[in-house]
Amino acid sequence: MASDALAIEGLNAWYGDSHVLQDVSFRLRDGEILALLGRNGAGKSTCVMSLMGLVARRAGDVRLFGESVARLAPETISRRGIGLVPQGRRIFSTLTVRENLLVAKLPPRAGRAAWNIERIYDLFPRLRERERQLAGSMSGGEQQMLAIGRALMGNPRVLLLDEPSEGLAPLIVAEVGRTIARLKSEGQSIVLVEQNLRVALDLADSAVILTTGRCVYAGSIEDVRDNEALIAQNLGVFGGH
Amino acid sequence: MSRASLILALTALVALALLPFYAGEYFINLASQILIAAIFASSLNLLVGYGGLTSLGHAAFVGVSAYVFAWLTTHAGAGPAVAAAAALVGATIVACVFGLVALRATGLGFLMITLAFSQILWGLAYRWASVTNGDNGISGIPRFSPFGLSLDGAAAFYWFTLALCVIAFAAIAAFASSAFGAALRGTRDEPRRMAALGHDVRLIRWITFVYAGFWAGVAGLLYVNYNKFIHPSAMSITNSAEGLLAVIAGGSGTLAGPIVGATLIMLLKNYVSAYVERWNMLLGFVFVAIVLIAPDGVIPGLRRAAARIRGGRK
Repeated sequence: MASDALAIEGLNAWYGDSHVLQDVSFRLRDGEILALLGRNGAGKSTCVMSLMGLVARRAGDVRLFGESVARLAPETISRRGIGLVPQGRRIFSTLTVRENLLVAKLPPRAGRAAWNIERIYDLFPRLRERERQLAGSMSGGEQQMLAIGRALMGNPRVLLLDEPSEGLAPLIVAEVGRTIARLKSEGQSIVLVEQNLRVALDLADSAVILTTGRCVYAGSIEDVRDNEALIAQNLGVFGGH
Repeated sequence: MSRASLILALTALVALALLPFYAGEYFINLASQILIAAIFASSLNLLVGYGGLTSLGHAAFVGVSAYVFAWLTTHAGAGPAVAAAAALVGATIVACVFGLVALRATGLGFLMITLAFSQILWGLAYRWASVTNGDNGISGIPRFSPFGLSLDGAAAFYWFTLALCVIAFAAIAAFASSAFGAALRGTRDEPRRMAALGHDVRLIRWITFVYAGFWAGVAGLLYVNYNKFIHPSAMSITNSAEGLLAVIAGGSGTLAGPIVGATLIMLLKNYVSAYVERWNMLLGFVFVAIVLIAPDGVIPGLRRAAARIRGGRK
């Protein structure tokens, strides 16, 4: 069996007094895609933000290839190898496309082909055309490509994608999906937060379902696909997609 | 930089370099003061415009640099070259220490801490009379003479200031447009995102703070050499605030903005004040006009106007 890229044990997080993540545990195997599913407000984004160290009050253990990163600062976690494509993209709108990529550059990792600006442009040719443009003036789809490219520039060992298809036209959603599949074929381990169930079912190897901050399912993606009751109960209105 | 603005900058530079041939001594001296204020405002712009860190104590570094130079040349018998080097080292060290403390906060907290620091130094200059000569200030400071060239004449000092000014702008422009500058702008817009990308946000800000402090020190060195006199008011809140106004009026986060802003303020303060007694009121009107017409500053306002004219021609 492949090793665990990410092992999460009893992860808890709080915003003020509200306990928004309660004892969440799951594992992501190296080179696979794990879909993190759940309704709005279920704690999916809080979960990836906690993995990145961006939630101030958190507890539990997070191991990245066996090494605990739970208590580290965001910049150290990033340097150890977790990359985040945040919800809403959050690109640097006053920087050019090229500068957005440049600021995200981290040293390459042993045994993996290093990402550089040229490789990102090969992955998203549209970004090459817009190289000198201010990132804030691009379309949502282009900004999403830039956000993914920016995260890849850090050569992450695990990539966290928070709702990459949110608010994008179907054509662009398909393109983002193809990119994620391509990254997986190159051996990239990915945690994919998705509201679009079909995208998740197509791409993921395993799934975790959160409901009000608790983990209600962790297992193979096939079992989710076939279990209509599970979908109806925990993913609700989005099951129809 | 676009070709048009490059041509504009070079034309302006040539006009400035030839200024002593067509202007009288009064205007040459005024131009020197404007250039010094422009270096100061440009250094502050690194923090305010590119880093999103509004400091109200930037004149502290002008003062430290000026006082170190003044004290070493008048009390310790040091040569101007040694004193100049020591002044820049002094301003940089003070920036290193202040930055460590001030950058624990951002926004209003940062503003208040920088203000407090500069007030401490101002108080020190005012009260520590055995060294600073207190309210009387230190006078009789010799000008430095680089490579044996005397800078006592207005034109000679002006050319020297202009040369340093060009170096300062080039260094500040290179800093702002470098990969580091992009990272700095990133910490201004999305600090958490920069942390998530592996950047130590405070380190980036601290390096910028020290770099800005160094160039404010250069401005202080020119200031004390121009005036041959130093008084605690050099690091008063008024001076810090004037620098900040210059940055905001000209357009923060643009390279030319602080230069335009500093020029505007120095002209009002030194030239118009000879004709208008209540020049402070005039300064107020000018700022109200800027806020109404171009709230993000003169340079961004002009850029928008130029874009509109170009768009209209199509």
